[in-house]
Parts: sequence; C-alpha cells; structure tokens
Amino acid sequence: MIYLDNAATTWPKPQQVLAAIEEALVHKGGNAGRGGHGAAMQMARLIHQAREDLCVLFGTDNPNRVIFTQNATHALNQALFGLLQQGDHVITSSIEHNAVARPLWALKQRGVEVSEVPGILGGEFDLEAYDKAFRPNTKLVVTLHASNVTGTLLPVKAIGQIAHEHGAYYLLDAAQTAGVFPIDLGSLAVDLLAFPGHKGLMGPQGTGGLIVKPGIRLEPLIYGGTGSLSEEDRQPDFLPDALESGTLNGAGIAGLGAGVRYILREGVDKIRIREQAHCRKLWNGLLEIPGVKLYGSELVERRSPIVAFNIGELDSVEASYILEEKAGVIARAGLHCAAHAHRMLGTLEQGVVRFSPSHFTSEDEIETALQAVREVAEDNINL
Amino acid sequence: MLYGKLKEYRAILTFPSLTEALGAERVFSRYECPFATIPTPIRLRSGCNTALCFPLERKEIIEDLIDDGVVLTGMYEAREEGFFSIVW
Repeated sequence: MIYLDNAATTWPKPQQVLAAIEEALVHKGGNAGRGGHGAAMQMARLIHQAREDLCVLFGTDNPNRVIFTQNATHALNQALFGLLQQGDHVITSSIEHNAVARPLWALKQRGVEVSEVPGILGGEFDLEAYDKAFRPNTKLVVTLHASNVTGTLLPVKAIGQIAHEHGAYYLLDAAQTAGVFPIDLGSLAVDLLAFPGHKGLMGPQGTGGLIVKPGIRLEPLIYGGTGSLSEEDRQPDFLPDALESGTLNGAGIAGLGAGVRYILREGVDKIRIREQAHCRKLWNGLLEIPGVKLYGSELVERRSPIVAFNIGELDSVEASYILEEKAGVIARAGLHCAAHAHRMLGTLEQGVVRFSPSHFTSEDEIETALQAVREVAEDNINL
Repeated sequence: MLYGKLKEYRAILTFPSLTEALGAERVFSRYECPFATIPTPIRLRSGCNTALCFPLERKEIIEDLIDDGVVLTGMYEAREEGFFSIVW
C-alpha cells in the first residue's frame, strides 16, 4: 500500500508516538485531575507536558490556554459557538472546509450574520473585498490557513492584521498546516488557533486543540466535571478547565505530545521541504501525463503538501478506486468535506483526486503513484 | 492534622487549577527544590484538589513561582495548630 492521504490523517506515525501511547496506557493510566493520587498525577503530567510542547511549537507561553479537543472540528466549533451570539457578524473565506462552513450555517439560523469573501482561482482570497466586508458588529474573522482541496495558502498575516484594524478577532484553522508550516502566535495576528492532533502534528486520531489568546472568553461547548471546584454547580471560569469538561483522551494526548516533540526535533522546515519536494515531483510528473488536469498553485512553496488533479472526465472517486485496485495507491477523492472550495474550482460534479505525501513517503512510492496515474489515464482517456 | 510530606516540609501552596500546580512543579524542579504533591487540606480548599508542599526554609521560591506566572490561591506554613499565611 502506498499511502498518499496524509492530508486526511498522517500515517505512519513516528515510533516515539506509539511508544508514548503505550507508556501512558500501560504505566500511567490514571485519570488526570480526578484525585491527587499518583496515577492521576502521572497522567496529568503527561498532558501538561503536551501543552508545554504545543506552546513551544506555536510560539506562545501559557500552557493553561491550550485547550484539548477531539479534533480540529471540535476546536473550531468551540471557538465559533463559544464566541458568536445573535446579532454578531463573522467574515469567512469561500474555500472553507465544512468544519467551518457548517457551524457558520447553523449560527446563521440563530441570527449570526455571515459574509463570505469571494475568491477566484489563483486569487482565493480577495483582500480588497475582505476589507470592505467589515461591519460595525463584525466580531470575528475565520479562515483556514491552507485549502484541504488544493493546498493553497491564504494570506493569513494580512487577514489577521486587517481583522485587528477593524477590532475583530481572528480564528485560524490550521488543519493542513500545523506541524508543516511555522505558526508563530507571537508575531501573527491570530487570536484563536484550531489544530488537529492527528495530521501534521503526528499524534493519534481523536486529538486536537484550540489555543485561546489572553483576553478572550469563550462560552463552553459542553459543561461538566473538570476535577476542580467540585463543590460548585457553576462551571469553572478559568482555563483550561472551563473548556475541558469530562475525561480527556490522556493516552492520545501523550501521543500527540510525542508527535510535537518529534517535529520540534526534526524541524518543521526540514519536514516541509521534504514534503514539498515530493509535491514538486508529483506536480511535474502529472503535468506530463496527457489528459491530467491539475488544480491550485504550481508553486509548491505556496501550498500545503497537497496535489489535486483529475484524469480527463473520469469521476475522481472512480479514478481513486482504480489507483488503489491496480497499484495500491491510496488517495482521497470526491469533495473532501469542502463543497465551497469545489464550487470555486468548478469541480462539484467530478470532485478531484488528492495526493498528499508525508515526509515518510519514499521517492519510489512517488514514482509508483505517477506510473499508476499514467496507466489509468492511458486506459480511460480517449485522446 | 498534618499528613504525608507536609509533616516534614511544613510549607504548602494551593492553586486555582491543576495546570497551575503542574506549572509550579516545573519551577520547583528547575530550582532543584524538593516538593511533594498532596491532596489539598479541606481547610485550604481551593479550585484544585492538589497542593504542593515543600521545605519551609525554601520559601523564597514563591517569588520565582510568581515571576514564572504561576497563579497561587494561597501559601501557608503548616503547624500542628493550623495553617498560617507565609510572609516572605
């Protein structure tokens, strides 16, 4: 099997991640914060270490403001439903994943005003239109960092600065970039950062988080036991407890922490350069195959490690199925939970095939994938 | 009644949350100051059920904890007759 679906979830994981999960499950399996006994404290320390590691990675310094969630979608929902109320206005892009598009649709039904900044191919985010979209009641801007369909990066530095000039918060969805591109909360005008644990950060599925900058108060998405202020009915108002009701995925978070430490040791830039080299090879190879159409920027440096394409008019899901059946190449096809992006690309019907290598992918695997596409194109396109 | 390492160490810190207690642990380790986690005595009840005790003669470390941004809800000297706020 040649796994090229790392944009959905990275696989394989570094050995250190597996070892950390095993260590947590076998030797440190208490419930963090539930009692002060040794088993609970061991797990609490693992979780706290992961918060500190994430602070280092994202250039922030308060581990209390790192909130663990099940995934990036959960983190985005926490931020959106925790901040926006009836009468508020929010601005977003036109290439959002459903993790943002659907909560915003639901919030719209509750009286939140939503504006979508228009985009075109090659200009996915119109900064001029964006600047004009602000209203007196604009509370939040939310965008992804990179498209999960084409990998295209948005100008997040400018988006955040403009948001702040208008007195709005900026929520960044780093689903495709955390662990792949440097994200420095010390220099970016980002107020809320949502990230998955199981993609670029190399942790297991079921992990993710939200970093909340000081001065922002979010209503909890869920209420319940936190192991603190147990004598009171009201939810604690301090972080992370306020937003972390219920038992955390301790073993998973231990694995996530190990993933982050692995990235810090290897270097975000080193990992990305290797992945971009794979993408360049894929892009150039696919470009030479008659009938193959590529999407997004040809500059791999301006994309997260994703290469999106179609083979003639062949349905993307069918193409993906054939690639797996014939050559064991695993790709993601269809709409990638991002109908808005496909609407802009004009691929709502066909979808696209998405290759997303990791730094663990070998050059031989890239060659094999290209050869497989070549053969599928020859068999299925009448040129 | 004093229990655990508190009988020996005699200084105790309480916190609003477990993450603050865990942050304090790191400061204690950095300054090589011995410490132990113990359940927060009921008379000192705070947001966090975990308290840290440490040798009273190292009470100046409280300054370092505060400098490091650790939030405390209380700092006490533990005597047989009760808990008394530490002045350092």
